[in-house]
Amino acid sequence: MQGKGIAGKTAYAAMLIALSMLLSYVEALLPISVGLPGVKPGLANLVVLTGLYYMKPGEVLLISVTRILLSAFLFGGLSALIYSLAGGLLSFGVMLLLKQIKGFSVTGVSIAGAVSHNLGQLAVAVAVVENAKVLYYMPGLMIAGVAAGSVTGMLAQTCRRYLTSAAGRKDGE
Amino acid sequence: MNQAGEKLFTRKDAGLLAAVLLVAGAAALFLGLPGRAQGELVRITVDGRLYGEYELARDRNIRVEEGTHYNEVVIRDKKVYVTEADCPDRYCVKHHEITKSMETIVCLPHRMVVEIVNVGATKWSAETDGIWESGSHGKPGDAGKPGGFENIDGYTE
Repeated sequence: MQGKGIAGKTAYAAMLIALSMLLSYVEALLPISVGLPGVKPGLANLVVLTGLYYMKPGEVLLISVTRILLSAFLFGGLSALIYSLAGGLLSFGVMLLLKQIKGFSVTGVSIAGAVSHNLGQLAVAVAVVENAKVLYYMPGLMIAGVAAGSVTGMLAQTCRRYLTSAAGRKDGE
Repeated sequence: MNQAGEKLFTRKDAGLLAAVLLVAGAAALFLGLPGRAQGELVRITVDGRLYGEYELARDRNIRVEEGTHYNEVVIRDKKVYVTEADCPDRYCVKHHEITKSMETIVCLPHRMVVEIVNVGATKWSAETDGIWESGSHGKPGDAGKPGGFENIDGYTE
Protein backbone atom coordinates (compact mmCIF):
# COMPACT_ATOMS: atom_id res chain seq x y z
CA MET A 1 0.00 0.00 0.00
CA GLN A 2 3.05 2.19 -0.09
CA GLY A 3 3.98 4.54 -2.90
CA LYS A 4 0.44 5.73 -3.55
CA GLY A 5 -0.60 9.37 -3.67
CA ILE A 6 -3.37 10.93 -1.62
CA ALA A 7 -5.93 10.11 -4.32
CA GLY A 8 -4.90 6.50 -4.39
CA LYS A 9 -5.05 6.24 -0.62
CA THR A 10 -8.48 7.88 -0.51
CA ALA A 11 -9.82 5.50 -3.13
CA TYR A 12 -8.30 2.56 -1.33
CA ALA A 13 -9.77 3.60 2.01
CA ALA A 14 -13.19 4.19 0.44
CA MET A 15 -13.11 0.74 -1.11
CA LEU A 16 -12.28 -0.88 2.22
CA ILE A 17 -15.03 1.09 3.99
CA ALA A 18 -17.49 -0.12 1.37
CA LEU A 19 -16.22 -3.66 1.82
CA SER A 20 -16.63 -3.57 5.58
CA MET A 21 -20.14 -2.13 5.28
CA LEU A 22 -21.01 -4.85 2.79
CA LEU A 23 -19.74 -7.48 5.24
CA SER A 24 -21.95 -5.98 7.98
CA TYR A 25 -24.90 -6.16 5.61
CA VAL A 26 -24.23 -9.77 4.59
CA GLU A 27 -23.87 -10.62 8.25
CA ALA A 28 -27.24 -9.04 9.04
CA LEU A 29 -28.80 -11.40 6.47
CA LEU A 30 -27.45 -14.48 8.22
CA PRO A 31 -30.11 -15.90 10.52
CA ILE A 32 -27.79 -16.26 13.50
CA SER A 33 -29.48 -15.85 16.84
CA VAL A 34 -28.20 -17.09 20.15
CA GLY A 35 -30.71 -15.11 22.18
CA LEU A 36 -28.12 -12.69 23.46
CA PRO A 37 -28.57 -9.14 22.24
CA GLY A 38 -26.16 -8.01 19.58
CA VAL A 39 -24.16 -11.19 19.24
CA LYS A 40 -22.85 -11.47 15.69
CA PRO A 41 -19.80 -12.82 13.90
CA GLY A 42 -18.31 -9.35 13.39
CA LEU A 43 -17.23 -9.87 9.81
CA ALA A 44 -16.64 -6.15 9.35
CA ASN A 45 -13.77 -6.50 11.76
CA LEU A 46 -12.10 -8.63 9.10
CA VAL A 47 -11.24 -5.43 7.24
CA VAL A 48 -9.86 -3.66 10.32
CA LEU A 49 -7.95 -6.73 11.42
CA THR A 50 -6.38 -7.37 8.03
CA GLY A 51 -5.74 -3.67 7.57
CA LEU A 52 -3.64 -3.57 10.74
CA TYR A 53 -1.08 -5.81 9.02
CA TYR A 54 -0.80 -3.80 5.80
CA MET A 55 -1.58 -0.17 6.60
CA LYS A 56 -0.69 2.56 9.04
CA PRO A 57 -2.75 2.43 12.28
CA GLY A 58 -4.17 5.89 11.58
CA GLU A 59 -5.50 4.80 8.21
CA VAL A 60 -7.15 1.72 9.70
CA LEU A 61 -8.69 3.80 12.49
CA LEU A 62 -10.10 6.21 9.91
CA ILE A 63 -11.66 3.31 8.00
CA SER A 64 -13.11 1.82 11.18
CA VAL A 65 -14.61 5.07 12.49
CA THR A 66 -16.00 6.06 9.08
CA ARG A 67 -17.65 2.67 8.69
CA ILE A 68 -19.24 2.96 12.14
CA LEU A 69 -20.53 6.47 11.44
CA LEU A 70 -21.91 5.56 8.01
CA SER A 71 -23.54 2.35 9.28
CA ALA A 72 -25.15 4.23 12.15
CA PHE A 73 -26.53 6.93 9.86
CA LEU A 74 -27.73 4.45 7.24
CA PHE A 75 -29.08 1.51 9.23
CA GLY A 76 -28.56 1.49 12.96
CA GLY A 77 -29.97 4.77 14.09
CA LEU A 78 -28.10 7.18 16.27
CA SER A 79 -28.92 5.41 19.51
CA ALA A 80 -26.74 2.53 18.34
CA LEU A 81 -23.86 4.84 17.44
CA ILE A 82 -22.45 5.28 20.93
CA TYR A 83 -22.31 1.51 21.44
CA SER A 84 -20.67 0.87 18.10
CA LEU A 85 -18.12 3.61 18.70
CA ALA A 86 -17.27 2.38 22.18
CA GLY A 87 -16.86 -1.18 20.96
CA GLY A 88 -15.01 -0.18 17.81
CA LEU A 89 -12.52 2.14 19.47
CA LEU A 90 -11.75 -0.18 22.37
CA SER A 91 -11.29 -3.18 20.11
CA PHE A 92 -9.08 -1.17 17.74
CA GLY A 93 -6.85 -0.11 20.64
CA VAL A 94 -6.58 -3.61 22.05
CA MET A 95 -5.87 -5.18 18.66
CA LEU A 96 -3.22 -2.60 17.86
CA LEU A 97 -1.57 -3.22 21.23
CA LEU A 98 -1.59 -6.99 20.86
CA LYS A 99 -0.30 -6.79 17.33
CA GLN A 100 2.75 -4.88 18.58
CA ILE A 101 3.49 -7.62 21.11
CA LYS A 102 5.31 -10.46 19.44
CA GLY A 103 3.87 -13.92 19.74
CA PHE A 104 0.19 -13.40 19.04
CA SER A 105 -1.24 -14.74 15.80
CA VAL A 106 -3.99 -13.02 13.84
CA THR A 107 -6.44 -15.32 15.60
CA GLY A 108 -5.26 -14.14 19.01
CA VAL A 109 -5.46 -10.49 17.99
CA SER A 110 -8.93 -11.11 16.58
CA ILE A 111 -10.20 -12.84 19.72
CA ALA A 112 -8.90 -10.00 21.91
CA GLY A 113 -10.53 -7.49 19.57
CA ALA A 114 -13.89 -9.26 19.57
CA VAL A 115 -13.98 -9.71 23.35
CA SER A 116 -12.97 -6.11 24.03
CA HIS A 117 -15.56 -4.91 21.49
CA ASN A 118 -18.30 -6.69 23.42
CA LEU A 119 -17.02 -5.47 26.77
CA GLY A 120 -16.85 -1.87 25.51
CA GLN A 121 -20.46 -2.03 24.39
CA LEU A 122 -21.49 -3.61 27.66
CA ALA A 123 -19.79 -0.86 29.66
CA VAL A 124 -21.73 1.79 27.72
CA ALA A 125 -24.93 -0.20 28.20
CA VAL A 126 -24.42 -0.27 31.97
CA ALA A 127 -23.86 3.50 31.97
CA VAL A 128 -26.84 4.26 29.73
CA VAL A 129 -29.52 2.18 31.42
CA GLU A 130 -28.03 2.94 34.86
CA ASN A 131 -28.60 -0.61 35.94
CA ALA A 132 -25.66 -2.85 36.80
CA LYS A 133 -27.85 -5.90 36.19
CA VAL A 134 -26.88 -5.59 32.55
CA LEU A 135 -23.57 -7.15 33.63
CA TYR A 136 -25.47 -10.43 33.64
CA TYR A 137 -24.58 -10.57 29.95
CA MET A 138 -20.84 -10.28 30.56
CA PRO A 139 -19.86 -13.98 30.65
CA GLY A 140 -22.05 -14.79 27.66
CA LEU A 141 -20.74 -11.86 25.65
CA MET A 142 -17.14 -12.81 26.44
CA ILE A 143 -17.66 -16.39 25.27
CA ALA A 144 -19.46 -15.07 22.18
CA GLY A 145 -16.46 -12.80 21.57
CA VAL A 146 -14.10 -15.76 21.71
CA ALA A 147 -16.22 -17.66 19.18
CA ALA A 148 -16.68 -14.71 16.82
CA GLY A 149 -13.04 -13.67 17.16
CA SER A 150 -11.84 -17.16 16.31
CA VAL A 151 -13.92 -17.32 13.15
CA THR A 152 -12.92 -13.82 12.00
CA GLY A 153 -9.29 -14.49 12.91
CA MET A 154 -9.09 -17.63 10.83
CA LEU A 155 -10.75 -15.87 7.91
CA ALA A 156 -8.23 -13.05 8.23
CA GLN A 157 -5.42 -15.59 8.28
CA THR A 158 -6.69 -17.04 5.01
CA CYS A 159 -7.06 -13.56 3.49
CA ARG A 160 -3.51 -12.65 4.47
CA ARG A 161 -2.09 -15.69 2.76
CA TYR A 162 -3.55 -14.54 -0.57
CA LEU A 163 -2.89 -10.85 0.04
CA THR A 164 0.76 -11.45 0.86
CA SER A 165 1.37 -13.54 -2.24
CA ALA A 166 -0.50 -10.99 -4.40
CA ALA A 167 1.47 -8.12 -2.88
CA GLY A 168 4.67 -10.10 -3.46
CA ARG A 169 3.94 -10.39 -7.16
CA LYS A 170 2.87 -6.78 -7.71
CA ASP A 171 5.17 -4.75 -5.49
CA GLY A 172 8.03 -7.21 -5.38
CA GLU A 173 7.79 -7.00 -1.60
CA MET B 1 5.95 -10.28 8.71
CA ASN B 2 6.89 -11.91 11.95
CA GLN B 3 6.90 -15.66 12.18
CA ALA B 4 4.12 -15.84 14.72
CA GLY B 5 1.83 -13.97 12.37
CA GLU B 6 1.96 -16.87 9.93
CA LYS B 7 0.81 -19.41 12.48
CA LEU B 8 -2.87 -20.02 13.02
CA PHE B 9 -2.59 -20.35 16.77
CA THR B 10 0.32 -19.68 19.13
CA ARG B 11 1.08 -20.36 22.75
CA LYS B 12 0.37 -16.75 23.64
CA ASP B 13 -2.99 -17.06 21.90
CA ALA B 14 -3.74 -20.05 24.09
CA GLY B 15 -2.78 -18.03 27.16
CA LEU B 16 -5.06 -15.20 26.07
CA LEU B 17 -7.89 -17.63 25.42
CA ALA B 18 -7.44 -19.22 28.83
CA ALA B 19 -7.37 -15.78 30.50
CA VAL B 20 -10.58 -14.68 28.78
CA LEU B 21 -12.40 -17.90 29.65
CA LEU B 22 -11.14 -17.66 33.22
CA VAL B 23 -12.42 -14.09 33.59
CA ALA B 24 -15.76 -15.07 32.02
CA GLY B 25 -16.05 -18.02 34.39
CA ALA B 26 -15.09 -15.93 37.39
CA ALA B 27 -17.63 -13.27 36.38
CA ALA B 28 -20.32 -15.94 36.04
CA LEU B 29 -19.50 -17.27 39.51
CA PHE B 30 -19.36 -13.78 40.97
CA LEU B 31 -22.72 -12.88 39.48
CA GLY B 32 -24.10 -16.13 40.88
CA LEU B 33 -25.28 -17.43 37.53
CA PRO B 34 -24.87 -21.13 38.27
CA GLY B 35 -27.53 -22.58 40.50
CA ARG B 36 -29.71 -19.49 40.42
CA ALA B 37 -33.23 -20.09 41.50
CA GLN B 38 -36.53 -19.74 39.78
CA GLY B 39 -37.42 -16.10 40.27
CA GLU B 40 -40.58 -14.76 41.82
CA LEU B 41 -40.81 -11.13 40.88
CA VAL B 42 -40.53 -9.26 37.59
CA ARG B 43 -38.98 -5.85 38.09
CA ILE B 44 -39.06 -3.24 35.36
CA THR B 45 -36.82 -0.19 35.56
CA VAL B 46 -36.64 2.68 33.11
CA ASP B 47 -33.64 4.97 33.12
CA GLY B 48 -32.54 3.49 36.45
CA ARG B 49 -35.89 4.28 38.12
CA LEU B 50 -38.34 1.61 39.25
CA TYR B 51 -41.30 1.39 36.88
CA GLY B 52 -43.12 -1.52 38.46
CA GLU B 53 -42.89 -4.93 40.03
CA TYR B 54 -45.09 -7.85 39.04
CA GLU B 55 -45.56 -11.44 40.11
CA LEU B 56 -43.94 -13.93 37.79
CA ALA B 57 -46.64 -16.48 38.56
CA ARG B 58 -49.48 -14.26 37.41
CA ASP B 59 -49.99 -13.94 33.66
CA ARG B 60 -50.39 -10.41 32.41
CA ASN B 61 -49.34 -7.91 29.78
CA ILE B 62 -47.56 -4.71 30.75
CA ARG B 63 -47.31 -1.82 28.40
CA VAL B 64 -44.24 0.11 29.50
CA GLU B 65 -44.75 3.62 28.22
CA GLU B 66 -42.19 6.35 28.58
CA GLY B 67 -42.77 9.50 26.62
CA THR B 68 -43.76 8.41 23.12
CA HIS B 69 -41.95 5.08 23.37
CA TYR B 70 -43.45 1.78 24.41
CA ASN B 71 -42.43 -1.80 25.08
CA GLU B 72 -45.04 -4.51 25.44
CA VAL B 73 -43.87 -6.89 28.19
CA VAL B 74 -45.70 -10.17 28.60
CA ILE B 75 -45.66 -12.49 31.61
CA ARG B 76 -47.06 -15.89 30.69
CA ASP B 77 -46.54 -19.32 32.22
CA LYS B 78 -43.74 -17.96 34.43
CA LYS B 79 -41.88 -16.72 31.37
CA VAL B 80 -41.22 -13.10 30.53
CA TYR B 81 -40.74 -11.72 27.04
CA VAL B 82 -41.25 -8.58 24.98
CA THR B 83 -43.75 -8.94 22.14
CA GLU B 84 -43.70 -5.47 20.70
CA ALA B 85 -41.68 -2.26 20.88
CA ASP B 86 -41.07 0.84 18.81
CA CYS B 87 -37.32 0.95 19.45
CA PRO B 88 -35.11 0.92 16.36
CA ASP B 89 -33.12 -2.25 16.98
CA ARG B 90 -35.85 -4.41 18.59
CA TYR B 91 -33.27 -6.55 20.34
CA CYS B 92 -35.68 -6.73 23.27
CA VAL B 93 -38.28 -8.44 21.06
CA LYS B 94 -35.74 -10.89 19.61
CA HIS B 95 -34.42 -11.69 23.08
CA HIS B 96 -35.17 -15.17 24.40
CA GLU B 97 -37.77 -15.61 27.15
CA ILE B 98 -36.43 -15.19 30.65
CA THR B 99 -37.49 -17.43 33.50
CA LYS B 100 -34.78 -17.47 36.15
CA SER B 101 -33.72 -14.93 38.71
CA MET B 102 -31.06 -12.44 37.56
CA GLU B 103 -31.99 -12.87 33.92
CA THR B 104 -32.69 -9.61 32.13
CA ILE B 105 -34.14 -8.25 28.94
CA VAL B 106 -32.68 -4.87 28.08
CA CYS B 107 -34.01 -2.31 25.64
CA LEU B 108 -31.06 0.02 25.27
CA PRO B 109 -32.76 2.73 23.18
CA HIS B 110 -35.56 3.05 25.75
CA ARG B 111 -33.23 2.43 28.69
CA MET B 112 -35.62 -0.19 29.96
CA VAL B 113 -34.52 -3.22 31.95
CA VAL B 114 -36.80 -6.14 32.71
CA GLU B 115 -35.29 -8.40 35.33
CA ILE B 116 -36.42 -11.37 37.35
CA VAL B 117 -35.59 -11.16 41.02
CA ASN B 118 -35.75 -13.69 43.76
CA VAL B 119 -37.45 -11.98 46.66
CA GLY B 120 -35.33 -12.62 49.74
CA ALA B 121 -34.33 -16.15 48.87
CA THR B 122 -32.97 -16.44 52.38
CA LYS B 123 -36.05 -15.04 54.08
CA TRP B 124 -38.53 -17.22 52.30
CA SER B 125 -38.75 -20.76 53.53
CA ALA B 126 -39.10 -23.99 51.60
CA GLU B 127 -42.85 -24.08 52.24
CA THR B 128 -43.33 -20.75 50.52
CA ASP B 129 -41.26 -21.99 47.60
CA GLY B 130 -43.70 -24.86 47.33
CA ILE B 131 -46.55 -22.42 46.96
CA TRP B 132 -44.76 -20.57 44.18
CA GLU B 133 -44.04 -23.77 42.33
CA SER B 134 -47.71 -24.68 42.33
CA GLY B 135 -48.10 -21.70 40.04
CA SER B 136 -51.69 -21.03 41.05
CA HIS B 137 -52.57 -17.42 40.52
CA GLY B 138 -53.09 -15.21 43.47
CA LYS B 139 -52.34 -17.97 45.96
CA PRO B 140 -49.35 -16.36 47.67
CA GLY B 141 -51.40 -13.45 48.92
CA ASP B 142 -54.26 -15.69 50.05
CA ALA B 143 -51.88 -17.89 51.96
CA GLY B 144 -51.17 -14.91 54.17
CA LYS B 145 -47.42 -15.34 54.04
CA PRO B 146 -45.19 -12.56 55.26
CA GLY B 147 -43.24 -10.43 52.82
CA GLY B 148 -43.83 -7.57 50.45
CA PHE B 149 -46.36 -9.17 48.19
CA GLU B 150 -49.19 -6.87 49.18
CA ASN B 151 -47.19 -4.16 47.48
CA ILE B 152 -47.06 -6.19 44.32
CA ASP B 153 -50.80 -6.45 44.16
CA GLY B 154 -50.85 -2.69 44.27
CA TYR B 155 -48.75 -2.65 41.14
CA THR B 156 -50.64 -5.30 39.27
CA GLU B 157 -53.95 -3.54 38.92
